Amino acid sequence: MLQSSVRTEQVTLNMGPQHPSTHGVLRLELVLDGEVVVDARPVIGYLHRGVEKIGEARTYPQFLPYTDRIDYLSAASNNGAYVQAVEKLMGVEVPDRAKYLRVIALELNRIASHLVFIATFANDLAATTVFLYAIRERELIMDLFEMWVGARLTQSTFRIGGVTEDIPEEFLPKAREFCALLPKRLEEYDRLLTGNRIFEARTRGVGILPPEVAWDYACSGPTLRGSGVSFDVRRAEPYEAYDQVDFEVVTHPACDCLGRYLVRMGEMRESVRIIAQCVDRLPQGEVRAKVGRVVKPPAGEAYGRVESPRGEFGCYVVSDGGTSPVRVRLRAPSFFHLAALPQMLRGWKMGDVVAILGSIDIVLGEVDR
Amino acid sequence: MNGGASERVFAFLTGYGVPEWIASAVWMLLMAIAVIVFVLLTVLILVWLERKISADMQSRVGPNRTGGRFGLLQTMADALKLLMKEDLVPRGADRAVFILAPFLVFVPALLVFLVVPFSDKWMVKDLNLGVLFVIAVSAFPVIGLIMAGWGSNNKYAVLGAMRAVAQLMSYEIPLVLAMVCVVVAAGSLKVGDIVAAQVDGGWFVTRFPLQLAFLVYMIAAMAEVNRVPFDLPEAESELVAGYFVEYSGMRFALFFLAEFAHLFFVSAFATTLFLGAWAGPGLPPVVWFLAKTYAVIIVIMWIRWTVPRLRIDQIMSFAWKLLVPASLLAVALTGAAVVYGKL
Amino acid sequence: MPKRNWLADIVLTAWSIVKGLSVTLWNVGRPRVTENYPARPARIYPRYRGRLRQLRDEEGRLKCTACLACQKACPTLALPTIEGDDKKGREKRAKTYVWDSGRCLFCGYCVEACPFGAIEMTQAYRVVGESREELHFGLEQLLDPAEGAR
Repeated sequence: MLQSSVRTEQVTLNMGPQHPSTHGVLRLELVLDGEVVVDARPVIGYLHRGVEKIGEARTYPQFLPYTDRIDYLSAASNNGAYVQAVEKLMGVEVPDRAKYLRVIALELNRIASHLVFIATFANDLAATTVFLYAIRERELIMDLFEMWVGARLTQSTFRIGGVTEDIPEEFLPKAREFCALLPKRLEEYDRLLTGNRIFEARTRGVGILPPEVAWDYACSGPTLRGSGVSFDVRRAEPYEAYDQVDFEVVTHPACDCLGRYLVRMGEMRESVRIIAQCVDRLPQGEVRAKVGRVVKPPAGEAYGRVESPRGEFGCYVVSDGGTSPVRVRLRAPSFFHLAALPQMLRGWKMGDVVAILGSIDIVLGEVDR
Repeated sequence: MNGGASERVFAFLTGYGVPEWIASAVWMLLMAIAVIVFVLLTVLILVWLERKISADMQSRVGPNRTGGRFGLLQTMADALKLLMKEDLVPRGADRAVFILAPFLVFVPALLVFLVVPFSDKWMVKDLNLGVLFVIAVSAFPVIGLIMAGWGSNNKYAVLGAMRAVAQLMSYEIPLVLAMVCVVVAAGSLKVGDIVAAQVDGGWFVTRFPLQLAFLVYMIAAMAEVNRVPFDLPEAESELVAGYFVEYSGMRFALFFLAEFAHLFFVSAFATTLFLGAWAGPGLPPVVWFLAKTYAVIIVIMWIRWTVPRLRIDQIMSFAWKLLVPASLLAVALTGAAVVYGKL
Repeated sequence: MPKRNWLADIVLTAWSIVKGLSVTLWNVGRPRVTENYPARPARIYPRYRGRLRQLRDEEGRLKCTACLACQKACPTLALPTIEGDDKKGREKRAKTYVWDSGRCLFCGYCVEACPFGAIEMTQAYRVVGESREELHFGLEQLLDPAEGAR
């Protein structure tokens, strides 16, 4: 009865583009009633670089390095979607060794991206030490890529018809070392985060995304699998060598932040398994199919999709037979997750905003393109 | 309790014909300067220590450039940098409130050092109401916080200030009750008596049921100093430094210094109340005191870099639903133990 | 809530914090991963895609013939000016070659496209300039094999 006699107002708080915890330049307009979020309006576009338009002005091979920079935390997935679309148009058959190398690149990128997720998620919840541990592990992956293609973040490992170049000798032993090391480190994160009651209190039951809502908003990846829906592009429409390796699709029935976090932890372990299998079973052979210097796919359209660490990343290419695509449309998973975000935020407290935003793991580079 | 130093200085000055009130004023001035210098030096060391410890736990190196391989002058360099920054008062801010707030937070942090027993001979003033003085003065920074948050003309600051106030007020109660346990066990509010009781009969933390009081005190102290897991009021990742977000330069430095001075104080007081202050064999008492205090500080820092942060409603429910009943239980047990002569 | 649940809660919370503390403590004994750059040079792998470099053949002649394959392959127009001298056929060599490192993506397409192996990407990671013009590297600078600093 005291509450109804006291006049309260709703406050519009702007979690501006510059903020330590919006992952990139996201502007979130929060309407708060005291401590509770009544509404949230994301404002995007601060990182728009016109990538799709650039695609129309470049030849097919020239656009490939640009795809690296869309979802810059997992460059290979973007490469993979674009290259898949172009190869479908051209009917190129990729050699087996290239397929396995591509899977290794994709899974290493998945682990790297999930490590960044753990780092930023933990940092948002003030477990700063885990942030540094995860980045320390990620350095090992970046070293692997530097050893292979010469770049750490925007690797451009893919080429139309195969991969850039073959792995050097020191790559396989180092990759095996890494696969042996990571599960032990993941255990450490478990002891610092997963098992920690305070972490659980911050994430269990927070930010519920019911599976029907997730499906309606076209969510994919760990955001969807954290709500119990078992959908993975690697199983639904296997590409590269995924039909030949053995892995589990990790889901979790709780629709909360903790579920999404656990899905990503599980996925890292599965990725280690996949990489270990690929490293053991790497076939000999060429790493690039013979594609002419000038790439002119026949007229048509194709859609390439990969399971990026964030979800289903798709690339829709329309060709008119020329050297440049007519249209390149990128389907970024974070865009759809961001659309589902206001639903996930309503009714939760200010302190949960950061946890929920972190748990859907968006990258503004792909939201804005 | 100054080992006669105050008397000697007094006698020396009055011997030269200086009026008594000037002599006492000189003595008070000397003590004030000593306390300020000590606290500032300690804060410098503490900031360095925090950075080094956090680096050690995170496989990093920490400061290693300024001042040699261990970066000993790093904090000094940072303080100089803060001094040279532009002094901003935000437009629309309440000037008087904004400017006064840092002092209201910093001065109590200095004032409490009056009753800290650095050694058997070094204590500024062994007040008869030592513990009560500490409790009273520790309540001041809360006003300073509200002033800082309100005077900043910034929604984030106001939010942070309100949370900080709620948190500090809630954790005062378990803190005070834990101190009450010790007062009951020692039978006096005078800090000198509390230390004397431990010198004779063993540290208070070794005597049941004061372990519970010690635990409650440590947790409440971490909340009072806004350390993780209770640092939501200044959560960098959520509220961008909360109530002092609009402060820059030296004013910000004052808040920062106050926080570390307060951290040193709660550890020093924990040492005084529970760990026997300067009592210990062999080494000089002041060394024991500092060693114990720094041990407590290192544990607090260790926890800070390990554990995630609690949300404000979890902090509040933890305080009221767990810590306050626990502290009441501690008081009851202590009282019973004293009555039945077991303490 | 019944008292027993609270106790289990408290004990489990405390135990989980203790486990976390043990991890951080144990990490204190691990070696530090910080590289003391720039006191020590950064650790670079051989295939690193760094600063561009023009190569000479065994007789000391420039390999580059200004065939413009690299310019056509570049996604960002980072090779704006390439001109050959007046010789004809196999004797033609480049006279002007400008690499705009400000636009460069460091993707390595130019190196792949060159039919003569005339350019390579070195391990030099410091590509610095104090103005846009300084980021344009001319032929003499590109021939210089100095690694690291400009």
